[in-house]
This record gives sequence, C-alpha cells and structure tokens, in this order.
Amino acid sequence: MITIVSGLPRSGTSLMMQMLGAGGMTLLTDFERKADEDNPRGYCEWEPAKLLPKQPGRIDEAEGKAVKVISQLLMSIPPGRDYKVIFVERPLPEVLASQDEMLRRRGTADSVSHDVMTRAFKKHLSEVATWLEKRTDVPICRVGYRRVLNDPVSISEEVRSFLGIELDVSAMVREVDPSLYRNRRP
Amino acid sequence: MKFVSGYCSAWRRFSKAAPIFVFIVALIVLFPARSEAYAGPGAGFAVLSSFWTLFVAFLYSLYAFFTWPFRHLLRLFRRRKKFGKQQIKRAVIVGFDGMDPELAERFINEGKLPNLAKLREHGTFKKLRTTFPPISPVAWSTFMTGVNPGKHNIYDFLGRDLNSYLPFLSSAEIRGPKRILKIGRYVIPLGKPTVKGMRHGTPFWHWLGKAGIFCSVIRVPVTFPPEKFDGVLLSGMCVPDLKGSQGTFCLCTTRKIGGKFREGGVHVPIAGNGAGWHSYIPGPEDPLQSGSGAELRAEFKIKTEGENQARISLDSESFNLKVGEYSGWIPVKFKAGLGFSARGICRFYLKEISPEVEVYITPVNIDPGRPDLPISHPVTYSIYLAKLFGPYATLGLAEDTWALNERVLDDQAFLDQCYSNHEDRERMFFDALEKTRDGLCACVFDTTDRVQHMFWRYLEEDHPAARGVPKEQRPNVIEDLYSRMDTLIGRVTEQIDDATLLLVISDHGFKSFARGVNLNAWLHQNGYLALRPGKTESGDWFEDVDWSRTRAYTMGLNGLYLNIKGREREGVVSPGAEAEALKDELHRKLDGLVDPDSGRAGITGVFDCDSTYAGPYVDNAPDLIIGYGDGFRASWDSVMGKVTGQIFEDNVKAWSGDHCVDPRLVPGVLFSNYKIGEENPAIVDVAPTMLKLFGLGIPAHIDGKPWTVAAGAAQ
Repeated sequence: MITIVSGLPRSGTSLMMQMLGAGGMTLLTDFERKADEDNPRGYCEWEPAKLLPKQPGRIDEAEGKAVKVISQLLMSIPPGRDYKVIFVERPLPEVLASQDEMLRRRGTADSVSHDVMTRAFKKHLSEVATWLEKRTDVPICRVGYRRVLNDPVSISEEVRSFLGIELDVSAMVREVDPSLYRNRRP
Repeated sequence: MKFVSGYCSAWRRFSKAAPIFVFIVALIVLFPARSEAYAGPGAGFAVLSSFWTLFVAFLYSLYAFFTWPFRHLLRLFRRRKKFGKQQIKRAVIVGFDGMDPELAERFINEGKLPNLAKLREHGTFKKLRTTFPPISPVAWSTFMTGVNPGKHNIYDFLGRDLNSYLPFLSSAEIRGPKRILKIGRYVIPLGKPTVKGMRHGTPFWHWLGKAGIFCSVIRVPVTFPPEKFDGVLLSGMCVPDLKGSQGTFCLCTTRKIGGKFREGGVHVPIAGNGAGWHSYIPGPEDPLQSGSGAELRAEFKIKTEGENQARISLDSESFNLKVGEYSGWIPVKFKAGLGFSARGICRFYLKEISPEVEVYITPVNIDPGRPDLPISHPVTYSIYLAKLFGPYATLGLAEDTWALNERVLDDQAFLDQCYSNHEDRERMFFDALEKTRDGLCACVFDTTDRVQHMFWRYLEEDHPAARGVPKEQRPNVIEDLYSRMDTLIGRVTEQIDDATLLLVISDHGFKSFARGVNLNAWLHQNGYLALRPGKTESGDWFEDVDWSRTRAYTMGLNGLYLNIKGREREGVVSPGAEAEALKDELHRKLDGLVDPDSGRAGITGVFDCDSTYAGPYVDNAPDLIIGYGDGFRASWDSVMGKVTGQIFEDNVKAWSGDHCVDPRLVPGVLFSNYKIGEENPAIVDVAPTMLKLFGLGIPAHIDGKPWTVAAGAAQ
C-alpha cells in the first residue's frame, strides 16, 4: 500500500505527515527542505515527487510508506498500485493568508490578488475532485485542518481506521500543537 | 422532409429581406444551437427557429433507429463486464418530496394509507436521515450522488456573490453569448448562450448507464441542465421559466396597482372598456436590446361574454374561460426583431370579470414540445412526452406558491394547479414505468412538498396563519394529500413484481412554521452587523449595511456567514484564529436562542460547517448552519437579507409549514417492499445501495454506505 498525503500548499500536509510518522508509519522524505519558521517541525517532503509527471513510476519507492504529494501532482500518480490518499482541507482564506505570511518572511510579495488565487485554487480543487471520482481505485479520506487541531483524537482514529493499519493514536495526537496555528492575529 | 422544406422557406424569406441580414443569419447558422439556445434576461435568445429543434430531433431519431442494434449489443457487452453479484433486475424509486414520517405513521395507524401500511408490514418503514441543511436541492443532490454537500457544492437554493453580497441561483449558471454584434441600437447575439450546472458529483444512474443498465429519471431536483448518460431524464426543480427566474407569475388587472408583490409576481394593467380589454404577458428581456431592461411582451385581448365568462385571444389562440377556471396550456410567442423569437406555454385563470377584470397567468414555462433550453436528455424526451400527453409544466417550482402567498390565488385555485401538475407527472411516471422493464425508474413528485408548505396552518389549532378559522371549516388538505399518494403507491405495486425493488423516499420531513426568526436583526442588535449611520433597518439584500463594521450576516434559509478578510470583498474578520473565535462565540449565543413570546427555543442546533462537510467545495459553504426549532424558521425578511427591528415574529402567510430547520427534527421517509437492514438509514446511502444491488462497485469517493437488502426474486 502507498499512503499519500495530499492537499494544497500550506493546507496542513506537513502536520499530517508528522502525525503519521509519530504514529509509527515510515515516511518517504529526504529532508532536503529544512525546517524553518514557517514549518518549525519540518516539511516532510520528498523531492522526487516533483518528477512524477515525467517519471510516474517513482511512486513505487513509496510502497509501504507515507509520502507527501501536493495536490497539483496528485493527478500524475499512475494506476495499478494500491493507494490510499489522505487529503487535507483548509479554508482558502487561511491557505492564502499562510502563503502571504511565508512570502512576507522571505521578503517577497505576492503580486497576484487573493481573488484570482481563490478562483484558481477552486478550479484546481474541482479538477482534482473530478479526477478522483473517476479513479475508483483510489480511496480518499478528506480531513479538515481545523478538525485536526480541534479534535486530533477523532481525526487520528479516523485515519487509522481508513488506513487499516496499527497506528499509535496517542503519539499522533501529541504531534498536534495548536500554537503552530500560524496565521492568527493578536 | 416537412421540417427541411420549412427551414428552406424561412431561409428564402430571410434572403429577400436584406443582404446584410442574410450575412448575420449565416453567421448564426454556423452556431447550431439545437435546443441549447436560451431565452432569458441577460442571457441571449433563441437564435434559431424551432425548425432546428425539430430538424435535429428528426436526425437524432434516424440515428437512434439505425444504430439501435449496435447500441443494444454494446449494452449487453457492458453488462457482462460488471463485477459483483447483481441482486435486482429492476428498481423503482418514488420520491415524495417532503413526506413526513410522523404524519405518515399517524395516517397509517388511522387506516388511511392501506398501501403504505402494507409496505410497512411486509417490507420496510423507517425514518431516512436528511442532509445539513434539510433543503430539497441539497438533499436530492446528496441522494443522487451519494456524497455530502462538500462534494456536490449545493448548500441552499441560493449562493452569495462574494463581491456584491447579492444572491445567485446555486444550481445553474446561465451566461449570454460571448460575442455580440452591435448595429445601431441593436445588439445581435453571435453565438450560443451557455447553461452550466453548478452541482458536482456523478449521479448514480450515470454509473448504471455505463454498465448497460437503462434508467428513466423524471423530475429529480437539480438535474438542470440535463447531463448526458445512457438513459432518459426530464429535468426537475431549478428549471427556470422563460424570464430566467424560478417562477414569475402575472396578475393582469383593471384595478389600480398599489405596490409591488413581495415575491414572485408582477402586476400588469388591463386597459380598455366593456367592449373589449387588452393586456400583455411580460416575457424575457429583448435580446436585441440586451442590457437596456426592455422586455418582450405578448399581447392578448379579453372580451367578456355574459356575467361569468370571457373569451381570451392571443396570436392564433382563442379560448373561453369561466370565472374560477383555468385554461389549458396555451402557447405564447414573444417576438423580437430580425426573426428572433422565444416560445413558451402558460395557463390563464380568470379571477373576476365584474366589477373589475382580473386574470392570473402562470409563469411562462419552457415549451416541452419545442424547448428553447435543454430540459431533458435526450433532447427529444421532453418532446416525446409532450406529443404523448400534451404540454405540461416544465418550470422547476411549477406549483405557484408565491401566488397563494400573495393571495392572488385562493386555496382551491392553488390546489387545482397542484393536482393538475401532479396528474401530468403521474402519466409520465407510469409511461416510464411501463417502458423500463428492467433497470431503474425514478420519479420525484413535488406536490407533497408544496401542499404541506401552504396548508400546514390547518393542522394546528393556533397557527397564526389560520387563527380565526373554525375547526369545522378547516379543509383536510394534508390528509387528502397523503391518501392520494398512497393510492399512487397502490397503482405502482400492482404493476411491479416481487423481483422489483420499490423504494418510496422523501428528502426531508415537515414541521410547522409559525414563528419567523430574523437572524440579521439579532446580529444587528448584538453588534455583529452594522448599518449605515442613521439607519435602524435595511432594505432587501443588505441595502444600507455597513460592511466595514459587519462581522457576520445571514442569507438564504439556514446559512450564517462571517465577513472574512480575503474572502468577502469587504471582509473584516481575519481568517484563522479570529474567525474561529467568532464562530465559537456565535455558536454559544445562538444555540438555544429563546423566543421571549413563547418561551421555546427558536434555535435548537448550530452546526460548524468545518465538522459537517468534507470535500473540494467546502469553501463555498456557510460558516455555520442554523438549525431552527420546531415551529420556527428564518423569517421572510431574513431570507432576503433584510435587517428589521424585530427578531421574532408571527408568520401569517399561507406558507405555514417548512423543513428548513434543525435537520434532526425532519428526517424523511423510507418505505420499501424489501427488508432493509440498516438501523439508521440516510439519504446519502441510496446511491451506493443502488450500485451495490445492481452489481456494481462503489466508487471510493462516495460517502454513503450501502444497505443490506433482503434478497427478493432477483434476475
């Protein structure tokens, strides 16, 4: 089984990967992207995921593990494998605010308006949903980011039940640190 | 051939008119619109005459005839590719919109519903959990797709525009042609208008069709525009009228017109004298003067004949009507210049001829025999039904509740309209049932919903809408309604065998609507919504609301929205922690809100959409769903975004029962001739259950769980 954690950038995919790792799953990561202020506990990314459109077979390296594949790349996963996808959903205004904050920390400004970004993201999420409907071989568990923070026990149990493997729910719950809710205002 | 020669004749007439017009028409002909051309405000017009519709229908019939053997073989081949064990050969789903399980049980126990009683005794009768919120477009969308609203994108009849805060129809979007040609004052559409369905997810009959299982689907809500699949479908709730609205009636009158109708209708003056009267039917916007607000009109004449009758003439139609009588469906043509026209059908009801003359006219429906908009799949299906049974209502909300609410129609006139439409629906359904020997036959009847909305007042002794009506004068409308539906079920069971699964379901139940709750008034009085300086109330649709100081607002039937920065155009609440804290605060304050007059809870549940929905369209959901208590609902003003000074008020309108309340209070019904094992079934489970019973796999994205159904005589 290949466990894929997916979602928009800044939607909480790193947190879900950390929870799965704490719960006992082996993560496919390369630590190339280091932890920083935007993600103090690290990104848990796997650089070769970016090659999936051209080298879809690379996904086989994730057999028996969990790997983060951002939503834009999800549609590149090839058929013929046993997948389970955990899709993290976060309200778009929060995603955009989080992106703004990240860009601000890096000293770059986003020239694209929130309006345009919102429309683009909504269209993209709709395309991913349509694709997932047709991929009847890809079970998906949608997880709300806020629910992860507010009710990590239920979410951890849902994920464990969905994956059908033994996971340490208490350890998963301990990974959730609400103080990392990044785009709060004082 | 008649259609082809007719088309050529029209072409020659246009050719003689003017060379420039020939060029324009040639351009238009290059965009064969079939019946997808739309007549409606701001959306263009039927570019081609109905010759194209009939011509294409003729070609399609030829195609269907010659390719039938190949398509039949393909269907047989596809069936063999199905996996799983097929448990049933045929399923019939009868949807009674709004049938209430408590009322059904009461009437069954009183011996008034013998056929439903038999299903209860030998098969199944359970409550069917509905959706959040329990509104028909939401629930039926979940029924057909097997997913929660976060995946099908329908949360209410209306959505809100994040820039203007104004409402739009949530189920379909109609846009005018992209290209136009301006010649002087004329604006000529050069292309097809588009109708886009906003409901996502795949109806389960699409999967069945792909597997070679034929499906007949009639008037299921939120099936407009109709999607292509291997079966036949007639669109239901949300099909617009010819004006592009959800139903605009017309009251033509010689009386002085004082004020507008609050909702759903227009006054039109009747001019003339005893020798003869004349008036008009308002139609769609003139496409050649798009944007100017000019509407097309169809003129008609009225000549009184005696004390009780009049003769009405329009175009080539002429008919007599007695006072208190409806006409049949009358074809109406709205002519613009340059050969453009739109066609519809409507019914006249003569209210009065002396001392004043008054005529009620139904909304102008799309003509099913020559539809200017797609209302069925294939396009010929609506035409077939019209040829077989005559014209019928195509409007999604065909029963004119607004006209009764505004007291333009009385109780009996409204009921006559409802049951006339219901009889048409029965004819279509039984025709489909006869022709669907195996596969799926599904039909939704709306009469149960409309009649309960308008006549619930007679069920309660002290309903504000019927105070002063003595018990013995209260008609048994609702009991009679359930009895008629029971008779229909009896006819169905006579026509099916034991190998056919019958499901009788409703999308939600019903409760009294005696007290309205203006949530915008509450938000204003509690500091969450601000008005411009000097204002104590607002107009409709948030006129005079000061968005720069407004943190929350409500619109539609159950949704409460935060005014979020980066989402709403003038949002002030930061997303994330601030929004969460505000939601919690509103949740605490609103849950259990008490009506000071009655001492009862006006709101019995407040539901956070983050925990309620999951899917790619959760960003379009309200922030909180308000669950009104038994007897309560959003007030008429609140639904239309109006802030008044009163939070709680009596509802005195004829629309006196409702279901847009706490979903836990209004489950629907589930009857079946089979035993269904699920203890707590939900409407979201119907789709996966159908797929499983027909031997198909259940797609991974579906939220519902298939029921265990006791095997009948299968295959």
